[in-house]
Amino acid sequence: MRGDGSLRTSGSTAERLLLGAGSAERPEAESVNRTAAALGLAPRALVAGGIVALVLRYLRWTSRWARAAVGVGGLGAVALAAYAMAARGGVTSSAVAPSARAPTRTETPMLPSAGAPVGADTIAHVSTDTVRPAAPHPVAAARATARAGPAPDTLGEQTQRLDRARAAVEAGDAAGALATLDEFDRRYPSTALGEESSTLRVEALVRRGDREAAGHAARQFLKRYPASVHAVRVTELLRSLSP
Amino acid sequence: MGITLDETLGPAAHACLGSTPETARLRAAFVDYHAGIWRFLRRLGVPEDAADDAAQHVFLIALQALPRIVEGCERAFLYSTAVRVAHGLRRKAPRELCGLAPEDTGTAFSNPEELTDQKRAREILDAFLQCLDVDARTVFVLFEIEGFTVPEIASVLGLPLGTAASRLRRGREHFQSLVHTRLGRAGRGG
Repeated sequence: MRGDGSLRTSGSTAERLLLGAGSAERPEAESVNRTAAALGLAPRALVAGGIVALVLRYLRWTSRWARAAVGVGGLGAVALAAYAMAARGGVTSSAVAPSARAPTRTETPMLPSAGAPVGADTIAHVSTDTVRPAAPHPVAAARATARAGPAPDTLGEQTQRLDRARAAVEAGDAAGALATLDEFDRRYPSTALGEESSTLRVEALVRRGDREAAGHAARQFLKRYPASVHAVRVTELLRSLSP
Repeated sequence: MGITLDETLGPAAHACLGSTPETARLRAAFVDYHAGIWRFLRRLGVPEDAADDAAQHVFLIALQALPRIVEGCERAFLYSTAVRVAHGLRRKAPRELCGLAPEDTGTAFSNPEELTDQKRAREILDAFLQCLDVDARTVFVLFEIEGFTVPEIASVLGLPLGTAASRLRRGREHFQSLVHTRLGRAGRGG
């Protein structure tokens, strides 16, 4: 195993997907508000914060839908889209994901969460010691794949290929890993496992000592998947490239 | 839920009690940890329809104990309390799911495509977690899902470091065996 030793970052693809799904679950906004009210924590402010968090998180997560909604109907349409996402289980209320591993201890501006006893216009500052970026969204990715990508029955094969690439990286065979990843990307251009593939590519390029290509791939990854569970790892790799 | 404060507190939670009268910390603790506590309870086997009440109960206990919780100990107190609250609420695992031979359950989890659906992946994850013994499961979830380090887990659960590490190892081995066996090709490698 590597990195922090967690299966979420160093396990097989299946292990990562399972643990990632478990980590991404959040209580519903209604539940957060009910508990907050029972504790005497300003339920009205929590509701307002929850709505704003829903909208803003939606903007952050699903750029395509959100941009379309902004284009045609402004914030109201975004709110409706966010509501629709919430209704299908894709959006949860809290912008804060406590107690996950964080790369730094810096202060990061956070969106007001449904759990935050703050007004709608408040930006809460929470230590990243207890905060991580929004979890990846494999459901949406999988749905996108279903619309545009290859038949889903290839997933078992995809995970095998990625696991081969990972084994090659860990064995120091960067060229072998990159060849496997090139083939993977050719075969599955719209896969739901693109984050996995891209992360491995960064690792393989770092392993090969190709700083320029690794830096480019890492920045592309962070731009494309800013909320990925692998963003911490990729950021670490990017930092390791600094002289 | 009929559980008194003293019945619920574990040794580690008691160790967190002090004389710091700062009730304002509850808000910060709620913002930081409510979602995590709720999720932790779910992964420990508390059914979805009971998780809201269980999480609320954890925070009500913290509210009662807050003046005595040492500053900086909130997270450990909450998670330690959650372990106690989850006890008795967790769903029992169907015995037939936990055998390591695929033929025990036919093809219940043999389709790797299911893993890209988060809801389905969580169902499979929880089914696997149910197969772990309670001690290993608790440590495994704290480490792999909630992001605790082994020393933090030892502190929260009031365990020697070696015990926490061995429970984590046991949980991982069992979990990986289940993934490998149940999910076939998708579970292999890495």
